[in-house]
Order: sequence, then structure tokens, then C-alpha cells
Amino acid sequence: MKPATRKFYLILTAGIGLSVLTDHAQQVPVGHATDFVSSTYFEPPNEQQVKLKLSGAEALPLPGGVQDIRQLKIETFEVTGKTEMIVRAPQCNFSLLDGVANSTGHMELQSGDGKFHVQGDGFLWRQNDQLLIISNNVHTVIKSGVLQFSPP
Amino acid sequence: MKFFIILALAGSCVCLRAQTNTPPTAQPPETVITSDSGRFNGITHQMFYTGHVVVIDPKAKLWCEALTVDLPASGGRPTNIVAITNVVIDTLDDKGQTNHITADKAVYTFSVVNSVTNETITFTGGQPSPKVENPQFTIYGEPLVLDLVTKQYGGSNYRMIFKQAPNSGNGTNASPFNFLK
Repeated sequence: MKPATRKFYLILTAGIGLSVLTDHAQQVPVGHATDFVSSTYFEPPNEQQVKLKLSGAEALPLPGGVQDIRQLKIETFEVTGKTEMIVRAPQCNFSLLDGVANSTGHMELQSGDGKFHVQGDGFLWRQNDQLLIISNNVHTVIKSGVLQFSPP
Repeated sequence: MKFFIILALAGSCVCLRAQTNTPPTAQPPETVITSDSGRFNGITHQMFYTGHVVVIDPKAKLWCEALTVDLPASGGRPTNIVAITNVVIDTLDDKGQTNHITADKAVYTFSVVNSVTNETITFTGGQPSPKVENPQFTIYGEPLVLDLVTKQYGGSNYRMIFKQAPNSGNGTNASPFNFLK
């Protein structure tokens, strides 16, 4: 992903001690924030369309440019605006500069159509390559009759 | 005021009664997959499971060490599922009999081409080859292909061995092909 296309917009309904760290063309929030939303957009010609939306109820700064995020929600979208998937976690640490989130706690992933639902304990999510690693107790439910296995 | 309360209570009773008489809506069948750990690639839309993988389907149960599920970006059913290492499937057929399938690898593919549905599971590897066992027969093949549309087994090096049913035929050595007489 080109730096110029990695635009982050921070929307705060309430914030304390917020500052903005500029890294090339990328803006990331540091400091304490509540009810925040950060969006990434598609490359041109779809630069008006949101590709990824990261939101949380609260972000607390930790050393090393890491944020302790509560009620994390990551949504990815198709160019059409249709939701691709949603990831939720009650708590995680999010590294602002390399876009990596991780937690030892619970997490859930759901496809946009709601037919694919995964949950587990402990995860690592890399924003750049959209890779989610779930460490333990992975439990998936696929709805609406996939795998209608029926032998002769 | 009391009238309205009575009317509201009566209405709620009618509603409750109506709900009681409503036939339960059929829940769509669900497939549950559990494993020790997993990995989801949001670019390829691929979910990868490792360690004690168990798949529970309404009609089948699968065990293996690793499983990959390809999910269409637009949603809907998986188009490709690959199970590897010590693949075991227990499934019920239309007669209610358990079919026990063993292989090293199982590949499920689903596609619709020109309105024709193709849905197969291809088994490869095993000791010495993929095997299906049920009370009536044992089938070997390398590969062994189960067509889920026609509900037929096929494949290369195909070998089917009928089992001797305890009380079948007229004697203890009765052939399973007695119906040909």
C-alpha cells in the first residue's frame, strides 16, 4: 500500500491530551482518545471509498507508540461499500506505526453476510497484509447449509 | 384506564397464543469447525486451521491436522476446502449407516458452471490408499472421488470389496452376488 493512500482520519467525540504524530503522509493518533474511528481508503480511482475502518471505545497510550484499545472493531469493505468482514475484540494493543494489533484475550471475526463466524483466544492482526492469526481455541460456525455432505 | 389495561392484556394474550401456534421456523444447517489455532488471510479470503481440527456437519464429522477453507469474497458457501494429515470422516448415508473414510488428504470443491453444480470430495493418500468402509462394503481408490451431486464414489485404481453379512444368503459362504442367480 502506498503511503499517500494510507490516510487516516481521526474522529473524536471526546479526547484528552490528544496529539498527532506525522509519519510521511500518514497520520496516526497518539494520546488518550475515546470513541475514535480511523479509516483507510482505496487507491485511486476509488479513493473516496473506505477500505478499512478501525474503531474503539477507548485508546490509552503505551510506550513505543502502542495503544491499549478497548472494544476494538475492525471493518473491511469492498469497493462497492459492501462490508467484507468485521473483527471485534474487547481489548488489544495496537502498534500505530506498523499497524499491528495483538491481544491475549478473546476475539471474533464475522463475514459481511454473517454466514461465517470465527472466535478464539489470543490473536495478532497485521493491517498491511490483512492477516489475522488466532492462537487458541478457534471455533468457527458456517451458516446456511454449506458442506451438505451426504454420501451414497 | 382499566379498560385499556384489560384490552392490552387481552391483546398480549392473543399475541402469545398466536406465537404458540406458529410453526417453528427451520434453522439453516450449520457447520462448526474447531481447532487449536487458525489464520485468516483477508486478501485471499482463506481461513487456515491447524491442530486437532474437527468439523461437525449435520451429517458428517471430520478430523484432521490441518484444514484450509476458501471463502468467496462476495460471501456464500466455501468453494474449496482442503483437509490434510490423518483425515478421518464419519458420515451417515441415506440408510442411516455410518461410512468411515480415511485418507491423507481430502479436497472439497464446489462450483456452478453453466447452471450445472459440481460438488466433489477427492481423497488421496492413506495406508495404503484412501478407504471407505461401511457394514456392506469397503472401497479403495487412488484417488477416490465422492461426487456429492450424484452421490457416487469413483476414481482410479478403484476396488470395491463386499463384506459377508452375518445372516445373508442360504449359507455361511453365500456370495453377495446371489441376486444374480
